[in-house]
Amino acid sequence: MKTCDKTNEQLTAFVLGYFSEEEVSDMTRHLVECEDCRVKVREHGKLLECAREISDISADEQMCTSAKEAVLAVAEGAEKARPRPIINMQNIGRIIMKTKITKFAVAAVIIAATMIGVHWFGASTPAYGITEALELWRNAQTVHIKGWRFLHTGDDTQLEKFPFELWFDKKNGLLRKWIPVDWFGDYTTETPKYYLTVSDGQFIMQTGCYTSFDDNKVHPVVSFTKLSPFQQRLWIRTMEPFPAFITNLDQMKGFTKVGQERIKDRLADIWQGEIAARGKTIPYVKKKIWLSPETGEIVRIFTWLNAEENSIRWVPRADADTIEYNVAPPADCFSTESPEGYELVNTKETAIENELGEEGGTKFYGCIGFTLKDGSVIYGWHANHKPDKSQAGLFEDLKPGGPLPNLPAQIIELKPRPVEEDIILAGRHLTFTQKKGKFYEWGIYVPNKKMPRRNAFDRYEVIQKYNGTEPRSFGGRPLLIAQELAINSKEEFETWVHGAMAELSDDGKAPEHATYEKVLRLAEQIRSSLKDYKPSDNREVRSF
Amino acid sequence: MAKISLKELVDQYSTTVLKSAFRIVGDQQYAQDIHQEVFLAILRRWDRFNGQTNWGAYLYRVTVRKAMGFVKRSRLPEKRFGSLDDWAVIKEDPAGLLRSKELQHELLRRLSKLPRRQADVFVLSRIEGISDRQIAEIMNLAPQTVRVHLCRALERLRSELKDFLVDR
Repeated sequence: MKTCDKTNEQLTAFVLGYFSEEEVSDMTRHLVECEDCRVKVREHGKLLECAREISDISADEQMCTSAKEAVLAVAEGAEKARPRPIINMQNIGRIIMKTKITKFAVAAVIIAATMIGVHWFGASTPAYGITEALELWRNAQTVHIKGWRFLHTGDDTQLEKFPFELWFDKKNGLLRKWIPVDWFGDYTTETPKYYLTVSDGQFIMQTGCYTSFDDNKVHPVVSFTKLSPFQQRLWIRTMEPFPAFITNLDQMKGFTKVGQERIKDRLADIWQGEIAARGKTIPYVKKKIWLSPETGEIVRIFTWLNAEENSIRWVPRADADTIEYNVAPPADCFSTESPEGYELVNTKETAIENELGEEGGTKFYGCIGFTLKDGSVIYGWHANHKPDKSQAGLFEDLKPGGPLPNLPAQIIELKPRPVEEDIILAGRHLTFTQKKGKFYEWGIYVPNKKMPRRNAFDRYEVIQKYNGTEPRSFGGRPLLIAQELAINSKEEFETWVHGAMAELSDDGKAPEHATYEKVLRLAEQIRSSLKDYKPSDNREVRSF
Repeated sequence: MAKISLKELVDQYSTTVLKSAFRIVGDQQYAQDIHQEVFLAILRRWDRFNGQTNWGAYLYRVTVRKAMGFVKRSRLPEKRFGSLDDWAVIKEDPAGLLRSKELQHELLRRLSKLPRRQADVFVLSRIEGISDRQIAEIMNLAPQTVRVHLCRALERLRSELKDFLVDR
């Protein structure tokens, strides 16, 4: 057996392209024979690809402009006055919509999911059932959660606790979230920074803060984001729990009942478990859940995070010690009137709307997806890595049911996961929309075999193809083509699919030919042509 | 060389600074804070700069340092990819996406702990896409030294991130 004489330095120099042609040939020959080096080179490659994916992340122009204007305002006044603090203006609102608020809804939904897990995988037969837990959430008009968050200033053995509180009105799509945030690594217990997020169904109000360079104090600010009518409806619909979480409950198989406790005159079973990320053995989170054995109602959740990388040291994270259903929220709970003492970043009149799916300047992104009753999927996506170049030509002469437009990146197939049977949804062009110079492809993805019901699987794997561009991840949301967005009637199709298409059209209308009946007929025609369908070889599999 | 005005400086380099910071911290608000800090720090010491400053190089260096400092000091996973506590990451990033984001996060986190020059060279080269020659200029190093730092950074990252790089 040939001994490997290549050093790590040589391998990295090879991967980074520092080798001469002769050295490349030599190394290539070596790699054919040496498995160890092949593995290392592959690992280097993955790392560099990861760095490239980070390098693809781009700040959007609006964000650049507002940041620049803010600094310029100071620069221009520098001759006359001392430097003043600059508040980051309208983008704060956008951040909120894209990160915190949508996560907020999920935060409560997981509670329902957590309950399900405990029921489903419980070691003993519980006196309550999975359906009851789900129904409890589904039928609740309001949900109220409050408790404590544990924070520290760098030494996680010295924790201090601060209250948090969440309110949901699911029927009307209202929410209120009030949490302390450890921010920028300069958190001090003397100045806890609270973020308040409130949605009144039309606007989302978000508070934040900045540190003044003048007085080195924290100053509170408030900003607004506007929801379009479609996004308002979407907001409400996706606040519903969805069974996708059931698959995540695999992580909770190890939860066990560890005791009982009386909380607020109610007896609760205590279930405890640890959760590890996929492929990892060391858990990153531990939860203790108090459940009413009579109703399946969750009473309390205590969460710890593991502070170590290679061993376990649990640090308390949050204690949601009050969880209530159908209690009346206090007056003005969902009011988006700016709290006193806050500087206004913008107003409701100047608030901006978020584009469906787009986030953080991603160039390839999925906007929204819908599963039809026959198992087909309509998925809207955008792919243009050169935003200043029009893609109009690529959308000419396209036919419904024909090939997808030849964009720099395409979503060519979907696969339901986890489903053992080898089912592929082949992508064909359905229609497109155009808004503010951007083109959105609405593909129809038709399964080559009978599909399981949408609530029987977790997600779709997205199969991409790159045409002359470097493979990179599709971003955006919802990547999952959410279960809540299953379409079972013409009315639903017109509300949601047409609504989404209209949302991404300059004229606010969906393409006329994409009717419910025509789309189902088209899917049937495509399906009949897929009996011998073979997946494309030229593709990137990205599992979302 | 005539001294550039502060306004001209901001006009010319603001976007570059913001985009660089955003790539590293992955959050608009934090990127804008870093952007603000970079320029205000210059503003506060404006009189100390003379007409000889290579602003492109200086701003790259300062921005990358500030952003990496942020990554090192802060809880990047919660800021960049959502808090584990609120579970959003689980909903939106199941399986592959989670792994991909996890690797990005781990890469940045480990990167922030590398020796300063290795980290800066890696960021400038592989994330900012700057040539070795320009990096040498920015960091006042010999091009050969840039290569050495880059090779060492890559090997060290590979070695530390092995668990994240295995095929799953």
